[in-house]
Amino acid sequence: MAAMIYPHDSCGVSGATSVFLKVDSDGSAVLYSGLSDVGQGSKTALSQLAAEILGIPMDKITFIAGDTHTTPYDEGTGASRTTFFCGHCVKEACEKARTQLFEAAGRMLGVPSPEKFYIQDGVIYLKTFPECHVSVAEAAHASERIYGHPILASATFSSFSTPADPETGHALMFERHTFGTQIAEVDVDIDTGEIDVLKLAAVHSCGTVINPNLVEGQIYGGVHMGLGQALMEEMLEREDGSVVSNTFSEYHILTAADMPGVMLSGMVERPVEDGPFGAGGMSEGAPSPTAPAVGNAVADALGIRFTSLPLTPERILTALKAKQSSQRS
Amino acid sequence: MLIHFHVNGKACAVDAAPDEKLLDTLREKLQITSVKRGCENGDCGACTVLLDGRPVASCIFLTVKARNHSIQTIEAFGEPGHLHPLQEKFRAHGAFQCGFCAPGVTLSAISLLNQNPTPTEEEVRRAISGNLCRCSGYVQIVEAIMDYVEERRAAREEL
Repeated sequence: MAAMIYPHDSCGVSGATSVFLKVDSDGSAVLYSGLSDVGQGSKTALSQLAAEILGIPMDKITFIAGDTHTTPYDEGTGASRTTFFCGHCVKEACEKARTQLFEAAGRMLGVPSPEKFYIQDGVIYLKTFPECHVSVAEAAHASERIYGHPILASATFSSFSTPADPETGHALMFERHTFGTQIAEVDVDIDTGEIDVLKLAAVHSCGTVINPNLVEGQIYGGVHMGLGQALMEEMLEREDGSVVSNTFSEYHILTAADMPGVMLSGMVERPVEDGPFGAGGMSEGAPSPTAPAVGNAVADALGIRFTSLPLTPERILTALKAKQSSQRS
Repeated sequence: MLIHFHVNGKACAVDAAPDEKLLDTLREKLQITSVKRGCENGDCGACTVLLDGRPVASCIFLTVKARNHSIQTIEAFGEPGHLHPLQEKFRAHGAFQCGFCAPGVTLSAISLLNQNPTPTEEEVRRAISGNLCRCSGYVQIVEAIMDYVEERRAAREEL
């Protein structure tokens, strides 16, 4: 077993991230963000946030990301910061746009108080009299084409982190921290030195989970990387610095058949302070405790503490031999 | 030399050099870019295609050897808007992240399911073990395939 704490949501001191948003007169919305979605699903998760606030279905939202020629600046998709930083911006921009929609609805319905409206399933209702309503598309259309105020919004979120104090060296380096614990059950073949990870359970503190499918994907993918570090992934170099393990024939990553037979994941929804709807980063925490958990399980099985990775059959057998000869002498 | 073969059910003739790899023929001459160029070493499985229904690594398979054979790429089974039911399962389970391995994994799985419609989880894992994935840990991929297998089994039992 191994537990870990991982700092997330920072990238230097400025850490500024911005998002643009427009709501078109057909009731659809377009978000522009500098985040990079390489498959982790940030566009999906943040579109869910936008759909929640704007009260329109997901398929009415287009998320344009990753091209800083058309999108505002983002400090980078890293440090598990996208949900926290870009999520903040998406939330704030959508709330601003929603207020503009309420203002337009108010003018259309003769109720000039945006706070008296709510939005649900693409329709803006007067709280006290829901029979009085207009659609998001009608409000956006009127705002843009009649009142001369296209629904446009932007938001910026900057890091809370502070530079190091020259006296004490103290700094607030990261916005928030994520926690996780993993438990591995291993079988070590003392004749071949091979380790079989039979079961692995990974439980992570994720803040408010926006999309469980995506979070599970991050946990499983992280564990896969962690198991690779623990068992087989090794960059071997020659003396001149050239790389020996430069193909997948030499640099081994786990195949589907190598993964633990039982793989469990758990999410603890402890809201992240100041996170959008309590959401925060979790991805990079996932691979962190895997190799320590496997290492601890192997130490429990063999009574040998390993201080270098990966735990290849060669390393296991060498250590077993050394243990046996020291016991004999 | 002129090589005749079938690609996704259509007869094809391509002029291929003797040392030309099937991957290059498919991507560069036939513009089938779902066949991914990965390690080009036969290790990663991103370039997987089906040759007479069996998965092969097209990056280390000579085009001349495909003469008179039938090649299938992912387009033979599903396209945007008309996904294969297994692809629908992958989508529902959030199986893929970056998606680079997806065509190869799907073809390996389809090949297995054509030979054995009721594989065990162990057999599924072995069948896709030639397809490396860095994102997913394979967990949701295997869950999706097993979900599909179970659904098909239940449907057959109803008949």
